[in-house]
Amino acid sequence: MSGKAESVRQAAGAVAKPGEDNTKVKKLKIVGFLCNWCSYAGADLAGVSRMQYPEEIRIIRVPCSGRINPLLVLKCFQEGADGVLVSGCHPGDCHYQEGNLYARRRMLILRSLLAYFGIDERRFHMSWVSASEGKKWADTVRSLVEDVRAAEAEVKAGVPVW
Amino acid sequence: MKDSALRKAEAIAQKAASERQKVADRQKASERQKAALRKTAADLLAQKAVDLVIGYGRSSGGDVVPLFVSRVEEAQALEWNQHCTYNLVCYLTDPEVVGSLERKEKSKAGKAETRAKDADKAGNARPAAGKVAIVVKGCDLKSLVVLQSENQVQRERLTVIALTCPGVADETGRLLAKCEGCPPDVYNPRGELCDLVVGEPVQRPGGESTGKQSGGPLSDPENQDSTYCDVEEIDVLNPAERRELWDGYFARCLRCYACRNVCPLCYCKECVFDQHDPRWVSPAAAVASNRSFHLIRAYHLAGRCVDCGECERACPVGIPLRRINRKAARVVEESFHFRAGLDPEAKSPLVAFANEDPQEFIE
Amino acid sequence: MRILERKTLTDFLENRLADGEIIAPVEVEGRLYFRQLDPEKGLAELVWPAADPLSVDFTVNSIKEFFFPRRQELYEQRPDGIIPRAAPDQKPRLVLFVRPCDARGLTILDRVFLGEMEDESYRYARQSTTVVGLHCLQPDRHCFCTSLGGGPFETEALDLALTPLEGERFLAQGITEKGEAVLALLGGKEAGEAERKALEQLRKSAEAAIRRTIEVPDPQTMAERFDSPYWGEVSRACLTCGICSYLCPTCHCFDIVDEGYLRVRCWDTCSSDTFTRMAAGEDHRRRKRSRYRQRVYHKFSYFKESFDTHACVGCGRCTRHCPVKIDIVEIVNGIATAATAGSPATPESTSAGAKR
Repeated sequence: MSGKAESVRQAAGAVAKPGEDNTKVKKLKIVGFLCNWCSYAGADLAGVSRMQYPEEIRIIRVPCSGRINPLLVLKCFQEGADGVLVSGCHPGDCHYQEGNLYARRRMLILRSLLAYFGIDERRFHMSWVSASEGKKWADTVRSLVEDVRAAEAEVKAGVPVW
Repeated sequence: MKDSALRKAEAIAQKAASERQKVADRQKASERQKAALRKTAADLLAQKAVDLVIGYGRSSGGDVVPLFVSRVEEAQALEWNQHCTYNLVCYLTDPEVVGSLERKEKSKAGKAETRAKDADKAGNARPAAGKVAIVVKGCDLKSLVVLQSENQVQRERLTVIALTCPGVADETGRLLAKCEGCPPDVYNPRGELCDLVVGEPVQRPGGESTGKQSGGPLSDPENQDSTYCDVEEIDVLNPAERRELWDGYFARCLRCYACRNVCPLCYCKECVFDQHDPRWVSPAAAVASNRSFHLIRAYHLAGRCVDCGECERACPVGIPLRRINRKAARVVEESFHFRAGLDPEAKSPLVAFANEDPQEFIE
Repeated sequence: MRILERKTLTDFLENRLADGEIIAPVEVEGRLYFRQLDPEKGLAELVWPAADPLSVDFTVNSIKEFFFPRRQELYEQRPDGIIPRAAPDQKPRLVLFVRPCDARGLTILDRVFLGEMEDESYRYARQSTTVVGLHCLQPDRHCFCTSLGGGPFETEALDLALTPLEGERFLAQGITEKGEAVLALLGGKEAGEAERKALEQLRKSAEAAIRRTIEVPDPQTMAERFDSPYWGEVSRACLTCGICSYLCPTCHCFDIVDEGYLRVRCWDTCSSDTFTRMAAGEDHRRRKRSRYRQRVYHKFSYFKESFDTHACVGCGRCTRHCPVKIDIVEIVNGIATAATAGSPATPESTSAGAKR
């Protein structure tokens, strides 16, 4: 990693300085909206299977990804979240038939508008995770946290996410 | 040499004369159109086909204003000129202007009528509980089409008077940006969307070449570059540049809500920004909360906004609001192949889905 | 009275910008705004008035927001106590090229914020600010200051008054002690009889250029028309946004909101349909005719009763920027001939779920 990038990341608190205690690294606040029937079950499976994945994610269980009002995603950013994940069932598998298909449209528009206003796209992810995809869940969280850390590294000191 | 110079001079003089003739012709056509509009309104009121005509008038200060005509003789106060920029459709969802036009189920129809009568007793000014005529340009008409598709107007109580339109201008006389690229079937409104078309068909320069016809299904959704070049200008910036650009505008925003209130499609009786519990966005004007406001409003208009341009015109601090709503419109058009305001039976794209909806962004 | 060359003024301003703040008209994308000048850009953004009156435009905003901010953090409410938000140290500040109408707005705001209950931060802002006015050579068609006790060449609330002359020069008059002190620093040539005559001439032609007069009816007439159907008619086109209130130099209503722990004061408008909404959803100004009527009565009846002046300076911004050109002059002038009460006023309160 180049010296300059490293020092920027240190300044942002994303990475511990050499010799520094790891606990001083900035604790990311990531919120995940998981649909009860697929993604939450998948996350549960990951836990039961003792899969390791970043602990920064805070999970909110919802009945369906179609329940998620885009305003909830925005509210997370407004209140200081560094990243947000929306996860639901694969298309065709929604417990309520089509909730995830509405969610797909909504989140596409939300994401486009966020990007248009210069909010780093890497902070907002959406995924399809089924009840049996424990590993995919772990990978999804890992990929989001990586993306958020990358976004954090490029943040100018003192500029809030929102 | 002299001969060709002479011919050149003649050609220039001829061109100037024909331009003057065109302007004079246009003015005459405009006068005829205004007279026809006044006669139409007067006739509708005289025959009691309508109780109220919503159109343009002129204040004592000389400005164009919205005019609400309920007497036959007042119809002569109706105006039509290049400064008639307002989209009057916003008044169709204002119960204090038209009573309630919202479509209720049949069983509740009786109740709706009674409520209108109560308004008469309780208040002094009598909102028209009956039939309403409204004067619209082609762009305004598109917003009415969306209102219809959302059951916000009982179409049978409306008489829609559409005007052929050469374009409208700001106070300095300069054509509004939204008028550039207006397709022919908007500036010469289609008969099937309105009840009456007043005015002769307009010829606008370069009408054919300014992009797609707005009527009918989109034949080539991939070919959007000319239509959305103003959005494209911002899309090609990098995120930090976009953030700086928009934050600059959001620092100016006063949260006056003029953009929301002038919008014909912002008609919620309790707007999300007026909710106390939960409160979604602070009403205090600051960059972060202003950003939230504009994003959420654009999101709520996605697939519904018809780009009538009123929000941008109303903004006292010159925020380029059309570029926000058109971004959402571009996304909806590219991803869901839908353009608002063409079909009163169309379902809004956000209450629909398609199996082939794009999902590259989803892991 | 002195004559100042533009260079004198420029030098003075550059000096002030070095260790103070200057708020002045700046052009942004074709519109003029009062803004704090960026010290790094110096005076480059400042829009100078020209002797050619037609080139001078009106700022969108007034100077109100530099004394009564759009958003002001008050204090934090933490479990262990209240932590007040200290106002940042106010550097000495100059507000430049303020028209007499905008300046007069300060006098009216003073009644509210420096009355029985003094607003500390407002007082601090007033004390730290020198108001340098610009006489108005060419009012526009929306102006009506003269019929409200103001005028294009008035000096109320100004510390120093500048009048643009030909050749990029200014006449300068010290109005207050503060202004005299500034004038002493500026120097300039003592004005002579010719200049005084020119000033009188400019004043006369500017006052003559004001084409509109507002005729506020007497309190009795106002009271008799409170229930008139007139209010429904004149408010019909109103969009109930906040443009007139927020751009008005004298409107001062505010809301207090909590942003998490932080309690914040922000501008509010009586035009809004949530302005009088109360905890149970009750709202006694549910209808926009009541709200528009309230706006007129507050400015032209109640305020005068309390403070001996109407809460309006005739700057014309409300009409100039209203998206549907609601004309307060036309409306106030029509009150006297409006019908008195129609059907008796009925209570408007609704229970929870108040509608627009």
